[in-house]
Amino acid sequence: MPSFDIPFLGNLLLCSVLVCSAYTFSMCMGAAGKRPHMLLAARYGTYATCALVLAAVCVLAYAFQTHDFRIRYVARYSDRSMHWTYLLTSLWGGQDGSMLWWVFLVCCYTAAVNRWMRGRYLEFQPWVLATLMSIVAFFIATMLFAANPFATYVSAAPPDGEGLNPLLQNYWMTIHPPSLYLGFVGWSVPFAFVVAALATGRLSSEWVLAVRRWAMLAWTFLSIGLTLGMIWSYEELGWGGYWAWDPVENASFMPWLVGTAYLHSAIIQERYGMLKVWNVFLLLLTYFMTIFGTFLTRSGLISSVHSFARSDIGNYFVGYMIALAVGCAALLIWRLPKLKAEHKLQSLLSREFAFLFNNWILLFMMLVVLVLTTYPLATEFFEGEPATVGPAAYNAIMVPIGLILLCLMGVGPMVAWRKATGKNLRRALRYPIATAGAVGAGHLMFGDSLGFPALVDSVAPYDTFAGEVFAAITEICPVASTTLCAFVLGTIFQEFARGTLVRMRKGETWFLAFVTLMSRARRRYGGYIVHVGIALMYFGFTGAAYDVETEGALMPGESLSIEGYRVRYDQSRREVDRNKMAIYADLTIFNESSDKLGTAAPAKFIYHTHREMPTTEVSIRVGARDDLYLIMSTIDPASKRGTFRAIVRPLVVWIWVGFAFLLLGAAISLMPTARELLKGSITPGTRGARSRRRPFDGALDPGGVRAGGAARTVSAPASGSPAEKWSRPSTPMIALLLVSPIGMGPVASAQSSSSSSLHAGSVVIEGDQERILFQRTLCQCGDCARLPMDSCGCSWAENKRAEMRQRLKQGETVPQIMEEYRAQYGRGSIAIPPDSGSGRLMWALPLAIGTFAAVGLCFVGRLWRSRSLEQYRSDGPALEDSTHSDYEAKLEEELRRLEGD
Amino acid sequence: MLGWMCVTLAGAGLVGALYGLWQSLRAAFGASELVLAIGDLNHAGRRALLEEKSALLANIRDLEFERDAGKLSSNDFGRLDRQLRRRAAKVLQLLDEDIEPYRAQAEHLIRSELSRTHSETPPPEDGENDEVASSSELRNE
Repeated sequence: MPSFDIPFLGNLLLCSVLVCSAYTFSMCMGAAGKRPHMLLAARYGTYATCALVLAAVCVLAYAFQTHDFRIRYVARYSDRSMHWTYLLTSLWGGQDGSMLWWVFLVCCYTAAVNRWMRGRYLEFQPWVLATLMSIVAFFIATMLFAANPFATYVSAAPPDGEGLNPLLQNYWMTIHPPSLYLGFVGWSVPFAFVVAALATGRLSSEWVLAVRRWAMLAWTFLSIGLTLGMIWSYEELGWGGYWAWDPVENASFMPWLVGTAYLHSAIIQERYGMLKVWNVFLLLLTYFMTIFGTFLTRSGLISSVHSFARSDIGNYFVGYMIALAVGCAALLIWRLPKLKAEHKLQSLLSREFAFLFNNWILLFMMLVVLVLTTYPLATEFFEGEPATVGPAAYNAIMVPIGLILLCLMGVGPMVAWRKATGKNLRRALRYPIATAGAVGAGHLMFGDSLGFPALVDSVAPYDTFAGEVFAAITEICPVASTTLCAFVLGTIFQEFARGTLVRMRKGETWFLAFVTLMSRARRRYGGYIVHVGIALMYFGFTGAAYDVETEGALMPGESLSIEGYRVRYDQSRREVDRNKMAIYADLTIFNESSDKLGTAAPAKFIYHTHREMPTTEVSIRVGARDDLYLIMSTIDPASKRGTFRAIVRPLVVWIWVGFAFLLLGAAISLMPTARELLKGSITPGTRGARSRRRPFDGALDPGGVRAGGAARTVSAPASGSPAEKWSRPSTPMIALLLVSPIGMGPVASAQSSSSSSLHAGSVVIEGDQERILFQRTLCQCGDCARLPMDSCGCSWAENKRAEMRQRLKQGETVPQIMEEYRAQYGRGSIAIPPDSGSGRLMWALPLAIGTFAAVGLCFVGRLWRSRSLEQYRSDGPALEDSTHSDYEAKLEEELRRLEGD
Repeated sequence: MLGWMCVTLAGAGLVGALYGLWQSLRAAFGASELVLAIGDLNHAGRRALLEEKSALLANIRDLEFERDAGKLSSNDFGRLDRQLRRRAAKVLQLLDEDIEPYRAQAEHLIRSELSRTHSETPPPEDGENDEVASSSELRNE
């Protein structure tokens, strides 16, 4: 290997990137100031900046491969025993490197958009590139001053590194953070376009069309990143769940919600020139939420198993967010006069209003997540003591809102654009409603016998009216969810069927009609397929209501039974490789008839560099009805006695199937038409200039409700906190991975050193009341503040559980015990803030804002409609008769051409 | 092996950056040839009309589709279709009017070019008629 002064070179490159991005920014400003020749300079400067960032990333990668432990970041996140693939993933394993990786991905997008804009959107180009360069400059400056990945030790370099966190040494971590980064970073491009549109005052649908695919691409990557995070959590962390409403998960979920709202409302601007201010606001907000999410996870302000250590970069992000908010607000206010809608709403019963309603729900969800995520911060700031908001609190509020959104997903496609009538809507909805009714009735009648009861037991979180409401909602969630999923699937099936029939009336065969239908309106039908995916994911989430868990201590040859499965413990074995020791338990799985279904090998990995952090490798048997999730808690090396935990999680596979549909729909929506492909290859401006390509060439283009089920005996092994891993991937997930575009980048690099093994042991839960109580109370042993009592296995928690159990037997209610627990250990000890004082704000504030917004939406809708009617009564002067007939003929010709495309 | 790949890529990045910077500086200081195929940045109005035309055409087609699929009554369809078609016809007319100055400019350029050629070479006897013919052909196109 060549010997370089890597730290110096790295620092030099970072400084060069900063200078080059600043230079490019100034060129862009020059070009925007009517000096068009500077645009060419800016475009070359952009490429140069991207190339410098590539060089910096490669230098850091080289430092990892050559174990240059002079660099602190390399020494902290790698060691000599690590495989080269993990040496590569160490690039984004920590704060400093992941910032560089973030910049690298921004540059990948920037180079791609720079190339794509060749000859297009000349007026936007300077502003788009300037915005992207400002983002690069901000991150590089933050790195140089607060999180430099090339910083060196003051003293001599250590002989070996500390090694990558074992949690990150698996292939999911090579894929999940990068894809999530691609989603986060991807929103920079639409943001840059909207800034360009505001700066230039070109606020027609031009910018919406320009960002359509970029926004869809970013949304798709964000969806992939979120779902891969769920898979990672489910398969890697070993706590049996896929979503815990952790602040890091919320940080990714919030921009996803706003981005989804934008994708819907943008359609209205494209078609009718409406909602211009709203669309601009949504895109600005989406980008802002990506930065806010990054700030949440990187500043260390909110405790999370995923978050990075507390660092100085929070101040830089606060400054950037303030500048962003002020700058964007100023631009928006400046351009308000140019953002007037070209048309008004014709009817409240229209697709446009349904989209507005959809936007309201999505933003309401975002607001709830935002309030709940920042609630601990707010209580710490105002009251001096942070409250804790656990999954139970999120589920109580988010599940019913999610069901409203699901309902709207079914109704929306049935409503006509511009104006629907009640009669037509009733006719359109009769079959989907009948289907949903049949499924709901079937669930009520046969659910119990199939093991999926329609209603589940629930305990009110508070002794108040609100608590009763939350409990009632939780009870009916399973049947409401299955009914609404059937409704959505019914409406989408009907949409496809009706569309195909319409085309068949023109003489096409059903197959040709179906294919033509899809290819003519990719975005619409791709969107419907995405909706199918979301409905299937909801169906999968419903399964969380029926989880069953059991735990057993077995000698080789003994078995434990759970929900129709029998798991036999055959033997344990030990394997050692160069960086870890693995202890496997070989299990055989049988069904009720003692037919062998397969084998499993859950394990414990003990890495040489992190002996204090043994990781749990779960083994999952995936099925259409349920997943059998097996965890090895402990193995006694002398007696070979093993403690195992088995969880049956119904319907989980449908979440991943839904994800596959989501990807398919997104791919169909993103697919260019033949005309677009052809147009791209023979753009008039590029045709003549092909032999002398320049960056500027080309022409202007005009164109958990975890309740119910039987009482279980549960053991929490080393899990509880998501600090464990898996042992083997399930086949469907590999298949999903193969169909997903693998990206590379943020958020969930687990820097916490928490190890579930510190709290290993058995957790016995006897009945639903106990389970709900233990879910809502947090262990206060001082070492595991965020670990719920239903999974912490330490002795303190065990004693406390016994005490609580006794009190329940004496007739005390769950809210009473929770209240006393809170009084004894403080508000942070309860996963659901109380329904009193400022705690009530947690659900009342979003609800009040949401209700106010809904009422406002209806009021504004009615106002628009009345104005709209006036407008259409005087719709401008008509053309002369002779001229009109000429243009009618021309219009028919254009329509025929459109049909022929 | 991977180390060498990193070095190679970093080297390529550096070379690329230097090349990009050199080209950028050349462009900034006017040494690079600027290529603007249609360097008119004032097409905003026309582009907006073209966008509106595309949106209107798609809306008319969608409206027909929704009528055929039974989502719209005939009355509503008739009213909405009339509105959209009236606006679409108006947009087509505006587009035609918008292109008129460019057509005139093109004709003027051709005339100047032809007259320059005629001044250099003796014109044929029926040259003027040819010129008029070319001009009217262009208009027809």
